[in-house]
Amino acid sequence: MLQTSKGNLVFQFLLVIFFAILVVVGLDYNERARLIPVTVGIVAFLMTATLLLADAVPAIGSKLSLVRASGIALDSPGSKRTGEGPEATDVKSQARDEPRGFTLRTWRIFLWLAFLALLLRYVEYLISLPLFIFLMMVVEGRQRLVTSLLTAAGMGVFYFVLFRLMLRATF
Amino acid sequence: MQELASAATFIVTWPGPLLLVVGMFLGALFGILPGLGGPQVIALLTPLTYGMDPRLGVTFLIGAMGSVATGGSISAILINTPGTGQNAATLLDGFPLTLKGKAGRALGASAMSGASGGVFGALILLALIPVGKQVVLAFSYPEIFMMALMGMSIIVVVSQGSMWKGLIAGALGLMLASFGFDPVTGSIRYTFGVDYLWDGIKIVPAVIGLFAIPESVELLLKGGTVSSVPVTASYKDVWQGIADVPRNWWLFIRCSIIGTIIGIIPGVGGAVATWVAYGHAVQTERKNPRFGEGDIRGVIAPESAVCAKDGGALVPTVTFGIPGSVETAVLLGALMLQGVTPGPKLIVEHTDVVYAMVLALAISNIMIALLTIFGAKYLAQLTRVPISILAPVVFTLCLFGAYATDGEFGDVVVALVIGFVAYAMKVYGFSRVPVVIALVLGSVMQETFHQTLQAMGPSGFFVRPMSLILFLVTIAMIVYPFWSKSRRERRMMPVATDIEG
Repeated sequence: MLQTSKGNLVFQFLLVIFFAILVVVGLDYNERARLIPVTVGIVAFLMTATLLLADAVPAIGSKLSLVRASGIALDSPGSKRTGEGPEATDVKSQARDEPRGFTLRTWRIFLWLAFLALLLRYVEYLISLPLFIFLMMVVEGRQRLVTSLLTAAGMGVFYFVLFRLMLRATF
Repeated sequence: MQELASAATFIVTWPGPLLLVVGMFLGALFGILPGLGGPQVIALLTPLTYGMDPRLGVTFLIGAMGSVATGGSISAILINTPGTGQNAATLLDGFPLTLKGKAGRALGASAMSGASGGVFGALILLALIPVGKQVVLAFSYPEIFMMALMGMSIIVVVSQGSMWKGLIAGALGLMLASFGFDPVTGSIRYTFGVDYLWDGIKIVPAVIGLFAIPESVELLLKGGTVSSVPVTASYKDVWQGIADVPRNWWLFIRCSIIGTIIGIIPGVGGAVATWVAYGHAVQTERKNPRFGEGDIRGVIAPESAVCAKDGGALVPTVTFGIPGSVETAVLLGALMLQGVTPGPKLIVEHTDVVYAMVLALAISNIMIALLTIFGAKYLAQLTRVPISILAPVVFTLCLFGAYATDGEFGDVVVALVIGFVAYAMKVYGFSRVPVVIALVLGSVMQETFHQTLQAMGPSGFFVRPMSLILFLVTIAMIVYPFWSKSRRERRMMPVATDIEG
């Protein structure tokens, strides 16, 4: 089940703001340069605002059937099956594949990614990449030190051979 | 015929096979790794070809070029991270097949459609060499615009979940495609004072952000291994994937033609070919479709197109000296280094070199397919590695892959920011496929739209026969799924009424 919570409304609101900014900024460009982005931006702004309104006020949402219409691909026969034949998607694995949303752990993983970006910015990649792998495996993945060390060292050698020796990458 | 035999002799005589195998291995490796691809591997190998016989040189380089696409599909299928931007469409059904424990079947289908598509493209190249000029000249701005428009029409059918949200996602992709310097109008758009954005949003960091990062985060949250069910990649499974290609031979032919035609058009690129082919499959394959959930036809369509595209891309390179893709642009430089000037005279003066290209392309595609088929059993083991080990490695491949594209830190930031937004899109039910389609096709579409208006006026879109045909096909592609859906609903209605009654 997709989240129809406050987070959903916040995300849609941010999209509305994003499209509005692009439209306003685009108005400054010359006529030809703004033709497509401003036109698309206005349409996208109106569509996102309508979606936000439909989700925020269910009474209005129930009247806007087009906003709720599903895409052709998944509305076709055979799609989203649950238990019809050997290739059907089983309910359990479907439930398992549902997005987990923005939990505390999700934020922590994105912080790890931001940490990796900072490492790449300020530390030589032959040090930063194995270091990140080692730290993340130990702290986040709770792997054994030896396993983490061997994986980090192996990937370090791989990056060294491919990028430093073969491609002579020095960034 | 004599030149063809001479080229074949060069390829099969030592050190031809060695160069072909080494090139193929390196091409596959560069294809597997995100951020690296055909241009990098050809640039890496070019200095080694200096002083070589041109026939051997092109064998080495095209051997590498031919295996990149299939290599890229391996990482797309197994870890949901497309090795190159042109493999993004493959992950839509390739990775769901892996999640269902059918990695072997997906790899088999990818290898078979890639090899057959590559050979198909090489044969088309061979056939088109005498008439290449006329074919290339048949495509001008309006035709390229119509091709891009045709690709955009796919958004209507491939939007997973809410169509409204899918269209918003498509608009988001189009807006992102507007970022940066516009070569037609000469304007700088949406850079917000950031120099990096002058080049616009690049495809590789964007695709990494849209697909690889959210899925890896999701897998890490889920824990365990990539596939929740035991992965089967025995030769029987791989064979099933191989057999899926002749079973869907008509789809394969159509998508190979799409790939070849898009390859012929200079500057359009393989990513466009795969999305157009994927969309075509979704729109036309109405028999029990499960696209987006692990439909094998969703692997066959983009893979046959992307491998056939290489043969097409060599047509303008050989006939005009105009590169059909980034890979062929680098290849052009390598050919010049060997004293071979591509262009109209190449076919007359170096016919054997052209034939060596055709043969190397076909053989390379077959070899990488065999490698994938026999290695699938071992490659699939990757999905048994615990996520807590795999995810940190994939994260470094993702962000460093984005960095390695051009050595710009901005690419890392773009991948990360888009990764975060794409995760939110996944959580809140916005399909990410329209974003990548619009991003890939948006800049081509905007550019050719203005070029057509400037050169031919609004009527330019409809007065050229090829352009008009493409326009009508696009209309049919949009209308058909809706017509088909309403017809199906009409058929279902009496049944529902009977049940209620």
